[in-house]
Amino acid sequence: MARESFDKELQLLRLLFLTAGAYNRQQLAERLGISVHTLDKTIKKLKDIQSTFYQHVGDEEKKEYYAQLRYNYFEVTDNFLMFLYHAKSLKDSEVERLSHILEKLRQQPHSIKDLLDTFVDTEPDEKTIRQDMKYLEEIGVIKNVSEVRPYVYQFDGELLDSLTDDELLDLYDFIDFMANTQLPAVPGYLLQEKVKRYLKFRLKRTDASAFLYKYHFVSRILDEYQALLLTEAIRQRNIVEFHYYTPKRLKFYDSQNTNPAFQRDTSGRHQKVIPLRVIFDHQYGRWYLLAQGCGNGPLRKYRVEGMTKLVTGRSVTRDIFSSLQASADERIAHSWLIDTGKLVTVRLRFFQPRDTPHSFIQERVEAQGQWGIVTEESRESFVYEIKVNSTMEITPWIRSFGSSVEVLEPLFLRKQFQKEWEELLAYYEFV
Amino acid sequence: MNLFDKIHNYQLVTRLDEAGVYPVTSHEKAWLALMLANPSAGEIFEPATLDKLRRLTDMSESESTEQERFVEKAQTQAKQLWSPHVRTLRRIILGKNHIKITAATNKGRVFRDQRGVPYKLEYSLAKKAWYLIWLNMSSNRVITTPLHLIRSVDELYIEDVWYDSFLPTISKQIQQRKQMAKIVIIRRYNAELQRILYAFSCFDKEVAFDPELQVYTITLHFLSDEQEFILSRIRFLGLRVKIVENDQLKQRMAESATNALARYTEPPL
Repeated sequence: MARESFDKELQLLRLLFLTAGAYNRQQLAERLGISVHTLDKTIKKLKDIQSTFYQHVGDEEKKEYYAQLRYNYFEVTDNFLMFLYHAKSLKDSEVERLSHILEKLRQQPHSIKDLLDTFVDTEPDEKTIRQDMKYLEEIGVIKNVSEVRPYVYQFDGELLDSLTDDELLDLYDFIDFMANTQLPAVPGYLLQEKVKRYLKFRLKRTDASAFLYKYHFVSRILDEYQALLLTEAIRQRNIVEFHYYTPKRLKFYDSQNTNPAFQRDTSGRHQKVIPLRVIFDHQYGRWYLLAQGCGNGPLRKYRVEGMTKLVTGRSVTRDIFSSLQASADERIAHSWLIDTGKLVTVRLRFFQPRDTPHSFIQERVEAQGQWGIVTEESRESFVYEIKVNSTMEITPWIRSFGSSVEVLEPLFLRKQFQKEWEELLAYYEFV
Repeated sequence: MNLFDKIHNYQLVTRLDEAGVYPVTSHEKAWLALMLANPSAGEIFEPATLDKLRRLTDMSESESTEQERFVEKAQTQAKQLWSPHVRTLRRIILGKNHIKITAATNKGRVFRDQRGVPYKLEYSLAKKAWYLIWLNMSSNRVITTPLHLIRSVDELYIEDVWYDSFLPTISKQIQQRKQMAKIVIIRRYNAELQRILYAFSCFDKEVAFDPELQVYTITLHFLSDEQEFILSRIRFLGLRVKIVENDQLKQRMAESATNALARYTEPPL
């Protein structure tokens, strides 16, 4: 069986989430490069998963595509895009078998032979059961507890079972907090879902959540799948291949058509590169890949969201890889995000707020100013200085401070700010 | 391990849940072990629990998927991830009890021994700080208090039904504070659509698209106390977006632009 790919579902969810109701079915299908029929089928599949998984989604919300994907801040505290990670398809018979095995092993340890006897209606063949056991042991949910044959297997529930109710609640909060604030998050969300269900089962609580996360880039988890595959490739120094859609094309995906009559010439460009670093940009909540093209060439930067059909290839030698990675690290050492442009010194004067004892501007500059430093300080203002690869990426951050900041250097940036504020004033002058 | 694994299949998870079986994979344990290595774990758990968890997640042949870390850029550095009040307050919320609270306010005033209904603990990813959303019973107003300003909290035991009886008041007040703003993406920046939408992806919003004019309009829904953050995001995007509906925000942008421009009329100091 071909490897199941979730590219289409990922791109669809992203598009629905980001454009939040902007497009009708036809427009969505066009932007995804699929037919309306395929779009409808994919949406139906996602809805089925979601309604099985989250029973709290009400009927009225099911009316619109987007309504289901809307983030209801005070009501739904889970990361509501997480259900996609439960989409891996499984035959009914396999669901049946795996759950039967785990239920039995949860009750008491069994050998494979004993297990076979516990199947009542349809007894699967021994070979299938052995494969299931091998899989379950590999992912660490069961373990062999006998030193001699026949092997006896036991469910590994130690982590959750050995905690007191109070400890379990602390664990739940910890996982919740870390998954929502740290990287990577998806394994944490998967674990959180389990602990949540377990808490409900053990404490007979309907809802244990008490936390809300404000200004959360929830959609970052959609790219974590590929981000983790890429870090794994980096760890093993493997070359990767993928199709790339540049963000400006307003196109996210293309179906892989087997019929050449339907072949589109708009599909993404094929890329074959040595991945060097995976970068997360907290400013926009987006992922990047830094890579080297095979057969030299410049350092390449990709947005992870634009990558589809990612596959891993052969590995390169440790020497080549290390030197490429070291040079990439050097190139981005002074990147506000990923810009590798010319190094420039930026000097800014920030003005302390009046009428409040809190120096929240300085606090914010110190928390967000990366490697920049405060060089002069007075009661009214302070000067912040940073060496950065071109001014492009730092500009929005500076501008977000509004009139609490003045660009001192470089002169061209000062002029640019003056011009921009003039134009912005024109936007609002006659309100 | 691939994140799309069959052990996470929705039908299997639902089925196992009915039987009370919750299999934790070694991949999830490895993630937990990685997170337990974070210094803040020591603030969250009792020392004995932390020891226990570290032992339970210790795998010699660990799946080192996460050992190759990501590079994180433009992160807001948090002074402290956790606050000791989180643990106390989340249990009071779970137990549906009232609080007696003494806390300072941002403007410097202190209120003492106020009785209140704790509602939610909120963590702002923009500010990297915790807040308590609660109903002050004497003023009957929903208040958001930063946890670092709380001096003391005591639990007052009450019946669950009494706790629940305040919830409609709380959600009503939150509803009343909701504001709306419409923002258009200036058409010559349409090529940057994705980036702009990402910048707004942490807000509650809808987007409308006019295919004739090729114009995107973003409708943001937010609470009145979020106004400053919304404004900083709009300034962040500069000329790419323009507020077309919400007079207060438009006014503030005009002031901002006027004041900022004034800084450049004189040569630098």
